[in-house]
Amino acid sequence: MSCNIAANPTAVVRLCDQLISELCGETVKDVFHILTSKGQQPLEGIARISRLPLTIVRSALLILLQHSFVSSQYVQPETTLKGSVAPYFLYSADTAAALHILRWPWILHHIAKEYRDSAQDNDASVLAVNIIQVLLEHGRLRTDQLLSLVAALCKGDKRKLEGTARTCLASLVQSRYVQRARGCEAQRPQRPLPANVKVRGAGSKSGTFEKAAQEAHAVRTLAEVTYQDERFRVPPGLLSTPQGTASVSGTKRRKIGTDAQPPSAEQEAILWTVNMEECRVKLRQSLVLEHISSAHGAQAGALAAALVRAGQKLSGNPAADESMPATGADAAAALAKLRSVDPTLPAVKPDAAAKLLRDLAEDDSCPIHSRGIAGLHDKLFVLNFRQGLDTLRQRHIEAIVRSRFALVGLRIFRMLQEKKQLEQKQIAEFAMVPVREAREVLYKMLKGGFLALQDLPRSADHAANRTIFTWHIDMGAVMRRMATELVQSAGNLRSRMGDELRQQAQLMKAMELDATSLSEQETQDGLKLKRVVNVLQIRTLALDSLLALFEMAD
Amino acid sequence: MATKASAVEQVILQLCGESTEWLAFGEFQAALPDISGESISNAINGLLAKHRLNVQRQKDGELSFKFIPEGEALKLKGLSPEDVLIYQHIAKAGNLGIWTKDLKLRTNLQNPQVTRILKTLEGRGLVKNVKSVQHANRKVYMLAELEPASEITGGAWYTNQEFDAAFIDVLREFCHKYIQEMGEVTLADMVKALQKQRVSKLELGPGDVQSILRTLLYDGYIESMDRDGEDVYRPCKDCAPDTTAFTAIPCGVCPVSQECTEGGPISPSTCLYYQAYLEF
Repeated sequence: MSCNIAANPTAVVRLCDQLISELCGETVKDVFHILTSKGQQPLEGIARISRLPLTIVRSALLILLQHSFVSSQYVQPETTLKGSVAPYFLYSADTAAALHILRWPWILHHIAKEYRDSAQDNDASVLAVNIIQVLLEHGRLRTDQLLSLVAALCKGDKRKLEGTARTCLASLVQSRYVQRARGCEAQRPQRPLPANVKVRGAGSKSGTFEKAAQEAHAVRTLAEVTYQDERFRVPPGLLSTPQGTASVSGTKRRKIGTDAQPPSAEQEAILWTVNMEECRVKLRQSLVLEHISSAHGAQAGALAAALVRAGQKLSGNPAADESMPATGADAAAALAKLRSVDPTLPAVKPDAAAKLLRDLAEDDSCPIHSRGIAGLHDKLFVLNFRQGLDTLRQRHIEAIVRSRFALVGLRIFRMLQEKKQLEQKQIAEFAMVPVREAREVLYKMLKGGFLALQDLPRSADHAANRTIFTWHIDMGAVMRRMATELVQSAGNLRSRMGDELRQQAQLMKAMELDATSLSEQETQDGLKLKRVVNVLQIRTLALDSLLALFEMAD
Repeated sequence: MATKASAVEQVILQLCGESTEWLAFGEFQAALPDISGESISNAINGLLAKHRLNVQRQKDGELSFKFIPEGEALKLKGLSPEDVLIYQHIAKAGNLGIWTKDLKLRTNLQNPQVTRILKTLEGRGLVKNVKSVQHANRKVYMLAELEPASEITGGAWYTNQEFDAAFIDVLREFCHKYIQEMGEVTLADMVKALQKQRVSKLELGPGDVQSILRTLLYDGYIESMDRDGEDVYRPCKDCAPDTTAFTAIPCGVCPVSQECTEGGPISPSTCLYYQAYLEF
C-alpha cells in the first residue's frame, strides 16, 4: 500500500498546518511545517530554520512524537579520517497521521454506536468513547495515565470506575481499536532490501556491505514481527485492580485472562494508542454498507451489515478483503440483534434473508457473493469489501466527472475505461457526438487530469501530422488527483470557517459573555454564524469519509 | 465499304455485349478471320468515337475493350476524350465518390482542365458533387444517379451532411423510456419497438440501435447483462449518485479550483461561490 496523496503537495501541508495549529498551537505547527516543507531534519536543523530556542523545539517535537505526527530515525555516522561524528536523530513528518485529526469525530461517533449496538449498554459506550477521546487528545498514554484521565472525565465511584475502565480498555484492545504504540524510532513500513544489494543466501561474507544490509533488514523485520505479535496482546495484569476484577456487563468480547496479579512495572510501561488503520477499515466498511443500501435497497443494506456482523465473531483479520462466510439464517439472527438496538432497521425472516442474499449474489454489481454450502443445503455468503470499495470509488469519480464535464464527459470517461485507448475520431463516433464537441470535452478533461493523451509517432521526427494521438485513462493518476483535491477542499472549508469566525470575533465574544444583552440583529447574526460553522464542519467530516476511500491505493 | 465497316462494328459490339470481361484485339481477330486487322481497327475507332466501347491498357501493354450500352453512350455524346476519361474515373469510384485531387493524379490532367470538365459533366447532369462528413473541406464526385455511401453521408446520424444531434436525442430518450417501462429489453425488442412506433423515417438496423443503447450504457442510465447468450438491457440500479459530499460543496465543481490559493486573487476567503453557498 502506498499513500495516494502526492508527497506533501501544498494542499496537504496547508491542511496539516491548520489541524496541528488548532490541536497543539502555533509553535508546534511551525516545527511541523519545517519538516513538511524542508523534509527530514535533525533537532539543530529545525532550531536553525525556525530560529526558536533548542528547548522549545525539543518540546514541540516531543508533542509531535507523542501523537505520532513525527517519526525519528537514529543515525550513526561512519567514522572517517576527519574524525567521528556524534550520533543524532533525524525527524520526519507523517502528514497522513496528521490528516487523521479530521477523522476524530467520526471515530468517537463510531465507537459510541459500536458499543451501544454490541453491548446494548450506554455506560459501556460512554466509557469506551472517553477512553478513545483521551487517547486521541494525548496521542499515547500509559495505562495508569489513561485511567486517571478517563476517571477525571467520568462521574461516580472512582475505584469501581477504574475496574470497569480496565475491562473496557481490554475490550477495545481486543476489538483492535486500541493498540500498543510503536517506539518513536521504529521504522514504520517494512522496507525491502536496497536495489543494489544482491541476496546471495547465507553465504555473504561478513564485513561486506551486502551482509550489513541483510543484517539491518533482518533486525528491522524482527522488530516489526515482534511488534505485530505484541500489538493487540492484553497484558494479564490489565484487569487486576487493588479491589479485584470488575467488569462491564456485556462489553467483553472474548474471555480475557483474569489473573489477579498486581501489574508489573513493564506492563504498566506499555503505551496505548488509537489504531487508525482499524478505524479507516471500519469507515470504509460503513461506506460500502451505505452504498449497498442506496443501490440495492434498505433491506439489502441492513442484511449486508448483519452478514458482516454475523461473520465478525469468527474473523481473525478485520481488515481482510472479504467478510467471514455466513448463512442467510446467521445474517437474519444478527439483523434481529441489531434491530433490538435500532428498531428502524427492517425485519427479515431467515428464509427471506437467504433468498435476498441469493438474489444479491447473482447480481454482478453487488459485492455479495456465495461461498459454498454449510450443512446440507444452507448457502454461505460473503461481502467482498474490495469490490465494494472499487465500485464506490468508481461511482464517486463518475459523479464528479458528470458534474464537471456534463453527461458527454461521463460517457467518454466510461467508454475509455472499457475500450482502453481510442483516437479522437473513434471517441466522437462511439459517443455519438460531433467531433468538435468531443474534442472540447476531451481537452477539458485532459486539463482536469481525468484523461491522458499518448502520441504514437509514425516517423522518427515526431511530426504531428504523422503521429497518432490516442486518449486513455490512468486510474492511478485520477485517484491521486482526487485525494489531493479532497485535501485541498477540506483545507478550503476550514480556511473559510476560520475567516467566518474571525470576521465575527467580537460577536462571538459578546455571545460567550452574555447572550441576553445582544440586540435582535446581533442574535440573528449569531444564529447565522452558528449555522454557517455547522455546515462547514459537517461538510469537512463528509469530505474526510471520501478521503478515506481515496487516500490509500490498494 | 461503309456497309462492310458497319457490319464489322455490329459484330464487335455483339461480341463485347455478350461478354462481361474486357476483350483484347486478338479475340476480335479470331472472331472475324476474314476481316483484315486494319478494318477491325477502323471499326473499333469508329465505335470509340461513338462512345460505344470503353478502352483500357492491360498490364502486358495490350489494349482491351468493353461494351457501353446505348443509353450510356447517348449521355456521353459530344464529350471530348478528356471528358470521357474523367467520367470513367468517376463512374469507377462508385458510390464512395472520388476527390478532385485524386482525379487529377489518375488522369494526368491539369487542375483548371479537370475543374472545367467537372463543370461540364455537372452541367449535363452526368455527375454530382457530395460533401464528405469525414472530410468537411473535400468535395467528392460520383455519378448523378448514385446514392452516396454511408461512409460519405455519415449514415443514419447525419442529415444533409450535418450531424443530427436532435434526432439522436429523440432516439435516446425513446429507448431510455422504453427500457424503464419494460424493465428488461433485448436488442431485437428495441429494434421492433422503434419500427412500430415509427420514431425514425429511416429504417434503423440492429447496429444503429445498439449504438444508441451503448451511449445510454455509458451514461449510466441502463446496464446490460448476459442472459442465455443474449444481451439484455435494464435500468441501471447502481449508477453514479446525483451529488456527493465533494460535488455538494463549491470546491467540487469549481472551474478555477486549481488556481485557488490562500491569500491569492482566488482564495477560499474571497470566494464568491462560497458566499452564495453560505447564504441561507
